[in-house]
Amino acid sequence: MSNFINLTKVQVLTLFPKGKKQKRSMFLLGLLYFALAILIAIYSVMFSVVFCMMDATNVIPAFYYTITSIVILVTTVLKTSGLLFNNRDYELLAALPIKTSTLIASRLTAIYLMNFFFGVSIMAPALIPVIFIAKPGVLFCILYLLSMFIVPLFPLAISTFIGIVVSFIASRFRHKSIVTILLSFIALFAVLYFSMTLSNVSEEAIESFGDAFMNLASTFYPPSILYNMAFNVEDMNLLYFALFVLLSVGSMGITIAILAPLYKKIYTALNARSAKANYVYKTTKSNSPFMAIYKKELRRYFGCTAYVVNTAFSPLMVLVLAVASCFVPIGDIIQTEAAALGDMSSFIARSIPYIAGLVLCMAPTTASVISLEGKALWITQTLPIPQHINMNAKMLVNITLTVPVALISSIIFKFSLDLSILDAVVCFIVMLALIMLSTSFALLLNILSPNFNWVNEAAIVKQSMPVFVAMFAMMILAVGCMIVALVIPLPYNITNLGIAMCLMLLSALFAFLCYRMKIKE
Amino acid sequence: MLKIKNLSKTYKNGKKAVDNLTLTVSAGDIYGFIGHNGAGKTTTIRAVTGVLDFEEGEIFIDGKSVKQDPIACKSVTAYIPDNPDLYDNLTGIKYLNFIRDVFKVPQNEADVLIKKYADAFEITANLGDLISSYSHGMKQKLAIISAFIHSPKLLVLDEPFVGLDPKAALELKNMMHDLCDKGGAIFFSTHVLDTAEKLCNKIAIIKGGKLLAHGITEEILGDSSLEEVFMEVVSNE
Repeated sequence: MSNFINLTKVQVLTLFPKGKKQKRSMFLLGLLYFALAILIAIYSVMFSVVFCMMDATNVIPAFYYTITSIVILVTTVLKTSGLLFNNRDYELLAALPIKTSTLIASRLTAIYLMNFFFGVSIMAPALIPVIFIAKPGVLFCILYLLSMFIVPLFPLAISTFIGIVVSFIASRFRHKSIVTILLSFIALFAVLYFSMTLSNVSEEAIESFGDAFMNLASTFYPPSILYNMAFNVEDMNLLYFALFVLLSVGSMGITIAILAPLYKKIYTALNARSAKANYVYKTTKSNSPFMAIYKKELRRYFGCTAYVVNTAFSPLMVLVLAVASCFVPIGDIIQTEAAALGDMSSFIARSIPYIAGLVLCMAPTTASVISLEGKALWITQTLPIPQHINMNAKMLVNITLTVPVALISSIIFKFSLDLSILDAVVCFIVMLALIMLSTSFALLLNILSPNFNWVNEAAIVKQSMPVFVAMFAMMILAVGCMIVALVIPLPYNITNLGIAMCLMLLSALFAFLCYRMKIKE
Repeated sequence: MLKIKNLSKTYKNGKKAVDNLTLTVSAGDIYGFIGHNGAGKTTTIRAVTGVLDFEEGEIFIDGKSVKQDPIACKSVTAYIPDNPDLYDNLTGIKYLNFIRDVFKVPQNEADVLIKKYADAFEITANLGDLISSYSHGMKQKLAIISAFIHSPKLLVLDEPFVGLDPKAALELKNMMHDLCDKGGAIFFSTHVLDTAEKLCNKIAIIKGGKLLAHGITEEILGDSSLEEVFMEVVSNE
């Protein structure tokens, strides 16, 4: 137990940097998390009140348990593989007299803690309306609050298991990174598909929402049955609570027990690099310094699974959205809002660039590109390359990833949403402007707040301050621009072009700052 | 070739790593920079190569200021750190080609040099493998090759012989002599006093960020060994 506590302490401490500048970054990140938690809490209470009004008080605990679990599953399924099998400190720790199961448990504890705080911000506030309306009793409330410690365990166990399977399969292949990326995306889309099924509650079922939801949840997330039986507001059942605890703790224990004997094998296979040692020298074509750096950046990008999965997901979702628009009558879905605003086609033409742009710009590669230089930063620092060439090459990687998607989706939207050619062109220009802004802004954030002392690439790509700030800032900006576009009483293409121009000017400013700011270790 | 004038570097915690250091490395010199751990060798080297900013003093490479004209200085300088962390996701040959392109080395010239040095270090067969599969010594060799293929005027090395097998160490020494014979200069730090004594025509001894002794090796050593001189100089301070 003391080894587990010591290991976990060290892992948590490495998350909190010592430097003043980085402490400030962590403080800002903490503030962001806190703001997000408050927002989630408000929504929790609001929806809880609505459920009470729909006579579905009974299902509130199970509903929030299911939502929390599925969000944890979706967000964690991509993380566990990287956090378990891509750590620089593995060799140091593996040589110590520590059980592998202890090492695995300490790694998973960091993820558990993040998910725990997220779960609390959803589930705890949801209880408030239940207490006032249903008056469930002290034991119910105490056990409900205690259950929040256990809620993250089952989805964490599932995502860990998926991570093990993905890593085990990938370790068998020569091109491990590519296989891991493909399998991770398949796993993620599968989880998303099942979670979206849960939201398909028909109009008729709204009348008996509680029953409809539980029918769906029991099919696609069976532990919700146990939770619903345990936390029945009218008749709490301790036996089912015990079973829920057993399932959650047991699943985590079984996952660790399965992983422990396989861990070293999978880790070695994943991180072993086969050396053929049969190269015969041949002349290769020269490139300009800019192309040489750009190609190097591309190879760096595709060489890190977590990097690709985290940043390519958004462009993929935009493509899915575009293709889905060919089959799903979006006009019908937003009919209410369109009716309020008058002209539906105008509403779509005004807003679709920002909706697609928001998703497309959520995870720019430039948010972590400087940090990922890591200990190889000295190479860039000693090359006779002006900073603007280096920064342009880094930005071009993100542009390469996103601009073709913006173009393709604009073309698809032209036909699926019946936009005019001008509308489609303006749609592309707006998305392009958002891409340029997110690219340069995220890069500037990373220049101002780099972290070169990482042990795990996945942590930098998913959890660093520039990544979060870039994501939230672009979300707020895209929504803000969309509101402006909807509200301004001018021809919508003129409004959208005006907004695009402002975004481009802002991105030029950020790019200029990127060229001038010195990267400090 | 390299002029360091009154260089001082103080870190944010108040520690003065280098204190008013002045020395000159001329064309043809193999200049050994010797000191105990934490003496300020790496800080000086990092300031010379542009990796580290410094507040006081000036550094000139081939007559150009490192602060005013960093690109021109870097284009004639090659640096090999003590622990050469390279791009793990590139193959050896891709890394060398990357350096070739950034330094704008003509293709046919680079072909000749890469083949020559890779054969000398016996890693030609490994150039097609990912750098992540290389041992520390192989990475060191690759870093050395990458430093020499653009024929630098100034070669700056930090503990270059650590991790090299004896054959590779001898090969590196030959390459260093060749570079100096062609008018280049070498500035390197080392703990291996025996190597410094045999290889360097000039040496400098640093302790606590301050230069204790510097000049022509023969004049500094006299009849003593470098080890004796080093221990005497360092203990007298």
